[in-house]
Amino acid sequence: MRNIVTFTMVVIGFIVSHSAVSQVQFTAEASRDNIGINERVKVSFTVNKPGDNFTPPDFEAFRKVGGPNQSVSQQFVNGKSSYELSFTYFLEPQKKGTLRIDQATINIEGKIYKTTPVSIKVGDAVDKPNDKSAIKKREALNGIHLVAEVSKSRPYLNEPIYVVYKLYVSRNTNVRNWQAVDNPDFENFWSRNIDNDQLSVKSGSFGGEPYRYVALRKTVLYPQKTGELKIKPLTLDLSVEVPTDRRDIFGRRLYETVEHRISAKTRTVNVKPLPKNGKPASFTGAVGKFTLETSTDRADIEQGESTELELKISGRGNLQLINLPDVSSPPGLELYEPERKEDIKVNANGMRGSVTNTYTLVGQNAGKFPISPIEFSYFDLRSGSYKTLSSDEIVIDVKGRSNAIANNNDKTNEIDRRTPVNKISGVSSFKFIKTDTNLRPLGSKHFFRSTTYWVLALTPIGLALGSLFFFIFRKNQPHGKDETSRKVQKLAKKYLSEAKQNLDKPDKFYQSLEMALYNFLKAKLDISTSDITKQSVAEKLTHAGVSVDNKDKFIEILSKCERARYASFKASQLGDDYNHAARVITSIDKEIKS
Amino acid sequence: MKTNFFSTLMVIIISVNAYSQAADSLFVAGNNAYAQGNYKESLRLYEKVLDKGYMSEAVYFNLANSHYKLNNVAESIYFYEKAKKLDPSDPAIKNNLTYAEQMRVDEIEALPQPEVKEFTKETALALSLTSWSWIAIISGFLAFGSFIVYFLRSKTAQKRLFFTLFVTFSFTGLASHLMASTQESIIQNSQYAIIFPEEIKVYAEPNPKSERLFMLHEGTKVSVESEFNEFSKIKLKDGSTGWTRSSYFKEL
Repeated sequence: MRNIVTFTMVVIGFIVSHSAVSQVQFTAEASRDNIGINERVKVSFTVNKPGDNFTPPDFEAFRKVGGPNQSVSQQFVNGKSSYELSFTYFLEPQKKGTLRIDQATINIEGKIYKTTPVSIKVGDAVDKPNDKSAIKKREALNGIHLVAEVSKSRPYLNEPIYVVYKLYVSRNTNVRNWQAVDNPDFENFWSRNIDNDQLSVKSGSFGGEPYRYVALRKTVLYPQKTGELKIKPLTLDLSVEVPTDRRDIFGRRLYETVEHRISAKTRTVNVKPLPKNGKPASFTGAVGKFTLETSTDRADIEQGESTELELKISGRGNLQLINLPDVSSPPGLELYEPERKEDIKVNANGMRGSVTNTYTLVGQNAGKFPISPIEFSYFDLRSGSYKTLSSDEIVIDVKGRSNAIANNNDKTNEIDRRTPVNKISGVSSFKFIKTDTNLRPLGSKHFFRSTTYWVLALTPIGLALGSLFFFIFRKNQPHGKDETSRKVQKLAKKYLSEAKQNLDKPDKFYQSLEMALYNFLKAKLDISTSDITKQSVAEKLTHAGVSVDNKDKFIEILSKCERARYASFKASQLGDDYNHAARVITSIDKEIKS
Repeated sequence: MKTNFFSTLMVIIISVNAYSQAADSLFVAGNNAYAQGNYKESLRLYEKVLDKGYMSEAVYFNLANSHYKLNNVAESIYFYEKAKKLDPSDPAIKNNLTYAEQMRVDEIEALPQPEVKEFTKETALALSLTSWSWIAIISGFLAFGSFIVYFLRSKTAQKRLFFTLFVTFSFTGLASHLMASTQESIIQNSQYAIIFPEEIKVYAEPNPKSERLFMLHEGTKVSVESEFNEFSKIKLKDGSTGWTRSSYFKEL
């Protein structure tokens, strides 16, 4: 009965297993899918049927620590057979991030099977890796410590600090080799590793026990941000010689080499901001101790030539991180973009050396061009205060071009050389002082609009107006005391011309003609109006040497004028009389003068 | 009474002369110091002339030259401008002023002006104010002379000649007066100032918290438009305006 049951079970089992066997399972499995970079992961590829040509993926981002360990297990449980072929690898991540383990392939009965890819997240180093192998060796490895020492835990912004990684090794273990796995990237720091090629083993103590230690690496850090900054740990792979219980034939203890991963603890640095008080305007973030130097190639150049201006900041501090102050020059002096040159050495105390900006200057115009003093401020760590450096003023003297032309002439033949060197050039030069002056009290006004000016300017106008009035006055008062003969003659002429205007009016004509004649007499013969009679006129004319003919003519005209008061004349006669009178006057005038 | 007045006037004139002579000798001493290249000393002596209460374009010019030699940008421009204000037509002042202006950092382009205006300005600045004044005076007298001769001469040809002369001289006199007053208004109309600090900030409002418009440097000439508290509104040659502290510049 029982046999029958077993048999049937076997049969059923066979049937079941047969159907199961036909299903090939080829899987990849990672022991953990989230590890720290200093941990290990076990990856096994399992197949449930025998196969050939197992090809593992190439674990690009991993390092193979162990494996492949091949294991085959075949089980018959209750007649049911199960087969399992597995390849196991121990892997160590080489970098952080999500890493992928690609497909592995296997050939089963002529068919190729593939696993699905596995991805593993690799995070920051974990302080205590809970690697199984590490736990085993922990006891021996307890004597190894990696310590990060920070020189200053509360530095100023941009103050150099350094972190030194020291590997402490107890007296009964040895470290053969070391290799940095995860180089901390020092976020928010400017960093520079100072690797020590020749490690020297020193004695020290750790936790009160004697240890040997090696300063593996020093990194200089310049904090670039204030507040709490974390320094991520350094992770090392060590080859450690762990003593075993076994001894060699000479009785010496045998050592086993064990791969061990160790990382320092995360350190925190609290960065202080620079004080706000007394921060100069020219401060751009330089911290340390510096000196400022400026120099020129040549301070005297000719128009169109160039010279170089060097601005050098040297000393200790965050040299590589500083901006050199700008140089400004007057527009007549062309300034080109500077060339930056750095000569910086980094050691444990920070950067030291110099940064130089070289400017090229070209003199466009003649003249003096001062380059205003360059200011550079920095924070002095020693005194904890800001310091400002200032360069001397540099004056570039650009001379006119005349000399440059003279130099070019040197190449020409001798005849040209004989020509005088000091040719006068058209270039204007800076003028010498004035040696003559006319000092005036301060605040004195211009001569223009001064009282003197107005007096002098208005005098001719006044005089002109005055004389004009004087002439008019004289004209209106012909009997005035100081009338001159010339003026009266003028008046006579004027009356004659008036008479001429009245040629068509007989009454007025003779009146004005008579007046003209009398005025003429007044001018020539010094007769006053009161004693004008025909007899006296005749007498005076004769006395003055006027010919009888002319005298008679003159008297005739006078008497005609008298008659005209009572009798009327024809207009045609007027013209003849006018011409007659004019002729007589001129001839008498001539006779009197001669 | 009359003699009293005249004697007082005489005393004043003599004492003024005596002072002026002291200032004159300071000026000469300054010139000698300058000639020897002792610019600090010449500067001190010329400043003493000003302290005594005397000035002339030559004193300002020489003072500016001394400052130029000592690379004092703002001071030299300031005194050249002062000299130029006294005599805008002097070519030496203009020449050296351009040298001094080259030392400053700011380069501001002037707004273009109508040609007629420019021409009038140039003509007005061709001679000094005093020269224009004397031309006006002399022309006035010549016009008066021609006027008298015109009246006294009887011959038509002579009369015509002297009348023409009278008109010409009157016109010249009047024109010179106008030129002088044009120059005077050029000098007086705009209140200019020179910036002394090496670099100043110019704000949109009379308040250092307001928007910063631009920066000006030592030696730049600005015209002062108005004042408010410790601030002044300044205008540049290119027409841009802004506010800055009144203590930053010195008016001419």
